[in-house]
Amino acid sequence: MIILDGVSKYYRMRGRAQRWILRDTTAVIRPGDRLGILGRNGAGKSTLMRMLGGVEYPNAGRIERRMSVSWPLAHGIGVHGALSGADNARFIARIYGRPVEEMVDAVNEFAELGGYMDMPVHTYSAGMMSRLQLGLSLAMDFDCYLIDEATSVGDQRFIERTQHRLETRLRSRALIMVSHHSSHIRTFCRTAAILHDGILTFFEDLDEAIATYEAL
Amino acid sequence: MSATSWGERRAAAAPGEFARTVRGFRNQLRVVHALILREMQTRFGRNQLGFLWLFLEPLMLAGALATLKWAMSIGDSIPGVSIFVFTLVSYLPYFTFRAIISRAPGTLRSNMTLLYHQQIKLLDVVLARHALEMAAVITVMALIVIGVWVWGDTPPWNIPILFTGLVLLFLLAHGLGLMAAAAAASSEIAERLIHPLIYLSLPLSGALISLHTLDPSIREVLLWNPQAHIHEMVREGFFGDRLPSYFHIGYVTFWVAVVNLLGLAALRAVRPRLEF
Repeated sequence: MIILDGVSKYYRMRGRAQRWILRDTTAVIRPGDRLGILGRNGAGKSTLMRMLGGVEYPNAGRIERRMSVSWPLAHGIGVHGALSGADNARFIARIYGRPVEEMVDAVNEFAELGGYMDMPVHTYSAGMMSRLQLGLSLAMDFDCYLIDEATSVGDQRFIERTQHRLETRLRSRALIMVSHHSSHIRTFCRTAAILHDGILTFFEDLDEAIATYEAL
Repeated sequence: MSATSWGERRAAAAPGEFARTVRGFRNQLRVVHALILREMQTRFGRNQLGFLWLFLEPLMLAGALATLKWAMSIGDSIPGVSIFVFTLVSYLPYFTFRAIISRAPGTLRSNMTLLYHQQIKLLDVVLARHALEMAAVITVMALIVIGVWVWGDTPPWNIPILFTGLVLLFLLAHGLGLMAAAAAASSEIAERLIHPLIYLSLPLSGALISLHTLDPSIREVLLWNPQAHIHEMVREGFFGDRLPSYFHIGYVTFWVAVVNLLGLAALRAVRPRLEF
């Protein structure tokens, strides 16, 4: 369970202005939830993901993680460009205390990077990068995965692989996902929330959420 | 809570707080170890000289300054103490001290994305980098000791004192580096001030001159600075009786503790305000 208790977050802009990301929000994310987060550019979806992952702190209120939560998967984040995919996998295995070579195999098996596994990550295409990142995260055993647009650049085959993994081995795990593709939200999520003007509105029905978002 | 620490937290809840602390400490060691490996890999990765540079840079700088001083015979000559060696063993620790503090803000900024992993704390990132710098300076110092021993036929006076001096220097620089990093993260003005302050502190550091050759009243003033004690310690370890030195380990340890506690507190205070 992730509990948001009266969470507020804003960024200071030039002058005295504040840009609100969240205003006094209280919410609960339960084990096994599959939640899509919708919102316009700059609404603060990525900031919300970073707060859920414990990277960034709210200005007020409390976020309590009662289950293990992955690092927020966003493009280019959590990997080092000068290191190879395999070395990045080894590094993550080491910091989370996992068997190192087992991790490399698991990532390669999922991401299908082949020879690129031993190439520096900055030589990767956007799609390969997202495969590596999802591979790294899904090889770990988290109760909740945070995916911030990481699926957006994946091809159909990779989306299907990700979905398959989430429906089988990671079936009971929670997923919080940000995507601008309504189709990805429909594929991966069961409920959705819209973040707009610092207000997070939850919808039980995906179609209703997507329709509301598109009307914004 | 990430996967492991969550599992470990559940497991450790029963044996109590002490076991949790031990586990936390082990986790931190593991993270710092992984960060050191990564740092070495990325330095190797950028170019072939990358790792060697860690050792060459301080050695070359100290060597150049020492050659300059020796060639121009600057400074009071002390019987039995070569100006070249004196400058080398004085400037090398000073160079590391300065490098650690002035690089700490950059270390923090360029490694912000590492904080996406909850296992990695702000402190670990800085600690890993400093441990590498420390290993480099101890290696270079060892090379100098061996070189002077073999070619100059003068063995070091007291290696434990020399080593303790270097470790204390590292700890002092580490604490100040934490403070510098936290200050730079919270205010741009503070960041701009760090460099000039480091340069202005050179005359007060007691790094490049033996306190013995100074007027006692000036010596008293310099001995307020724990850094001056440390440089005296290093020289004591090297020259011993040939060059009387003035230092007090207790005084240095006190300041090391103060600076490190303040540094940790500053880092902790600044962490919630970091924006990514």
